[in-house]
Amino acid sequence: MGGPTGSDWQQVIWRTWRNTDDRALATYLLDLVVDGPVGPWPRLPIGAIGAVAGAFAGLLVGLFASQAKLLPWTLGGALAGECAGLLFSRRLTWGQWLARLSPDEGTEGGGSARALLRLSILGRRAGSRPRLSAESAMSPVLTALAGLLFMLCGGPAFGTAGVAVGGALAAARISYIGGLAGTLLILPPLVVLALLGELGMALLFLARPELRPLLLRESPLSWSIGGIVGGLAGFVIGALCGLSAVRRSEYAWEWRALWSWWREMPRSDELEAALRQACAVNEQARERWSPLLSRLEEHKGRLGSPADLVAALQHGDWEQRFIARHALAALGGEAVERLEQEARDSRSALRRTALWLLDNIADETAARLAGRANRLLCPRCMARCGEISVNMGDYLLTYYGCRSCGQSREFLEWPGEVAVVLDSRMEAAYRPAEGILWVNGLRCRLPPDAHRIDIAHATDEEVERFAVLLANDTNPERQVRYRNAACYVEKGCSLSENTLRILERLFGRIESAGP
Amino acid sequence: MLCPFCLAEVKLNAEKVAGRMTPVYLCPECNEQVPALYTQGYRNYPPVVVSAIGFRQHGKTVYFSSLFYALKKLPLADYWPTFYTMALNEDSLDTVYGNVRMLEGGELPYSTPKNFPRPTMLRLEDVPLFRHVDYTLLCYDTGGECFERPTQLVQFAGFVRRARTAMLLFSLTDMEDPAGEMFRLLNTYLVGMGELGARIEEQSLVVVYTKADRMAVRFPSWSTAWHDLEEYLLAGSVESLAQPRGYIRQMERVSGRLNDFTREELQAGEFLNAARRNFRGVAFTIVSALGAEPSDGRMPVHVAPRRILDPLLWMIKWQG
Repeated sequence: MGGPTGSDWQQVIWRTWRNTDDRALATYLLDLVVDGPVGPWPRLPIGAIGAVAGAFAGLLVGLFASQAKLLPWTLGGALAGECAGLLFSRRLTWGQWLARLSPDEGTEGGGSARALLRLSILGRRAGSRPRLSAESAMSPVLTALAGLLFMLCGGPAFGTAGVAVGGALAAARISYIGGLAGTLLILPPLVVLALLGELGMALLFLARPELRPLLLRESPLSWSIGGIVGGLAGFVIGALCGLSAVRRSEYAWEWRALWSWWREMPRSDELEAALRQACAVNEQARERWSPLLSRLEEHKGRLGSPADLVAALQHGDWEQRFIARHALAALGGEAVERLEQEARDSRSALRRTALWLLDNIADETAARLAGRANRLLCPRCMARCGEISVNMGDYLLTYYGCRSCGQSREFLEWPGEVAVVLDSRMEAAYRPAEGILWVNGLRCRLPPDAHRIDIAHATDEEVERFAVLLANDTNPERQVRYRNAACYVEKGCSLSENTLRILERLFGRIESAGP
Repeated sequence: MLCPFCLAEVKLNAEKVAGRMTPVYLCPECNEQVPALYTQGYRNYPPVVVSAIGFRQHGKTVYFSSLFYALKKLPLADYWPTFYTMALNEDSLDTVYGNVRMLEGGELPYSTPKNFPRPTMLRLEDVPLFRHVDYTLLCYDTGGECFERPTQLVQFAGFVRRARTAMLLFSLTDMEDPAGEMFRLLNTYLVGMGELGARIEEQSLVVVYTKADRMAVRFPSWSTAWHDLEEYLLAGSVESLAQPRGYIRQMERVSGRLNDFTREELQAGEFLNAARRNFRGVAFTIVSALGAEPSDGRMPVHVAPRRILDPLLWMIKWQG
């Protein structure tokens, strides 16, 4: 059974409800969509059950009206039943539909009876709008009534199905098998009883062969009697089970796995957009979600550390959890390392959430950065943006971020050449000039991605510090680049022979520059 | 591979750490980040443990300060064609240049606290001795209190176990009973090494007489019977290192004379016998880390180290 066929934002809400581990979030999301009408697909089984019930009713009427023309009566009954089912379900909402599909805690018999009742349009009272709070249990009287209705609608349906089963097995078999088969479909433990009954009947025929012709008649009436017998049995069993299964009805939380199982959890930005659309069209949604979305936007302006945000994923307040999830997604590459720890830990309660967030980050950074990565520079490290792969064991995570620090939020757009200058007179972290972005090497904490080094005004100590920074870099690509890079030492910069030899060992060539 | 921080023999692997996309080398024993320069250059630049052993106020810290000053500020590169030195990490840079600035500013380094020291790591490339050699110096300086008792040595100076050469520093001018105190330090060292399970017979010993510019004050015969030693000290300039082999021969001659000085002037026969019996080789040197006596913790004149590289050259020679 899929989600609604309504607008995109509702699809996103349903997908999130279907996949989230946060039950409180799922409850509040469901409030946004549960009163919406169901699409055509959920109404089909209602029509189908109505058709089956109608077919049997038509068959019964046909038996009394004309034994020679049962088929038209049957088909006519089926058509009438289907139309009735579709007609009466046209205002069915998702809340009512999900409640109908929810099992009761308790015996299967009672649960099946109630579910079947709810599936049919006649089960309106048996289904109610789903709530987390304790729902009032069905009274025994109502349960008995449910059983009666089951007999009228469900029993014959099962009886007819039992007839079909019996007929498929051997057309010459006695009709009571049809009735027993109908009962079998209601309560599986009766399989044993049915087999014993079969054995008993066989023994009876051996003892009283004269009863055989009476009970092996192939008239339609005998099949119908079998169906009614099965239906009565179903009523009795269903009512008995229903009386013992007066429990609170779970609204559908555990049954989510059956719905839209092929649809994935949407990305965090998709959910945020869907919530904003919901707020735009629905006043109740606006009251509920607008403040939270505002707080989220405010939080994105001052994102905390990944460790704090991951800890907040288990906060007692669902809104804090919501903000933490979306803030981690917004943090992007910086959050990967911390999330990776949770994702690798098979016993972590946050593993599924961490995997979802990592997928979020991979998709979002790829969409935003992949096409222009080689034009982007991280303003903190002056390293290029690039593809970063993390081996998660059973799969490879690939996202885009700074190749030095991993952050994926802010970049400079600079497709041109990058050079490092060691100049103690330079105050800025970088400056563009003559088509080159000059990076202040004296302020670098990590090796920048540069193809050239200029030493304009620096002491032996400053040069050696920068040299040690580069020489301790384990990035193989940068190691090769620096070995092939040119180093220009301005004539006014008096470095010791020791420092010049350090530079010679580090770079491809050393040249004097300047007048 | 020897971890420079905990001195354990470990296998260093590159690992990811928080906030870095590129891996770093972490010691599995002490979890310290070991510089890539050290790890990747381990085979070409094997470590030489330089450990200063001596009582309080005998010049260990000043010796290292002066050594760093000499390696960075004296024009060694002018006399040794392809030689250079380079610190291996930020901490080492801070130590080396911090000491250089201190001495240039006329200040003396503070006394060292009693704790297991972090090493100052320096790469030496192309030291021209009998052949061109490349090493990584791992310099450890700890408080003199660590050498008062063997248990203190074991607890705070365990790095001595890893040194191929032990460097004992004595400020003779500050010792009332040089022979007795020299033997006491040597005895403490031998007992401590025994408790550390080290094989002393595989070690060599360099005895360094520090503050040698004040010898004449303490020993009246210094300028007469031992005037060649005094001249050797005063002539100790960087230019003399231009001929390394000749310099080494001179060092060996001076070592022999200092051995005689120790026996005859200091009457430290017991010390000499114990040293020769326990170590693979014994050498003597004299140094003046500052070139002149400080006053009130400050240098009256510009720092001028004398023969400061001699102990290091002995260590490199014996490193093999």
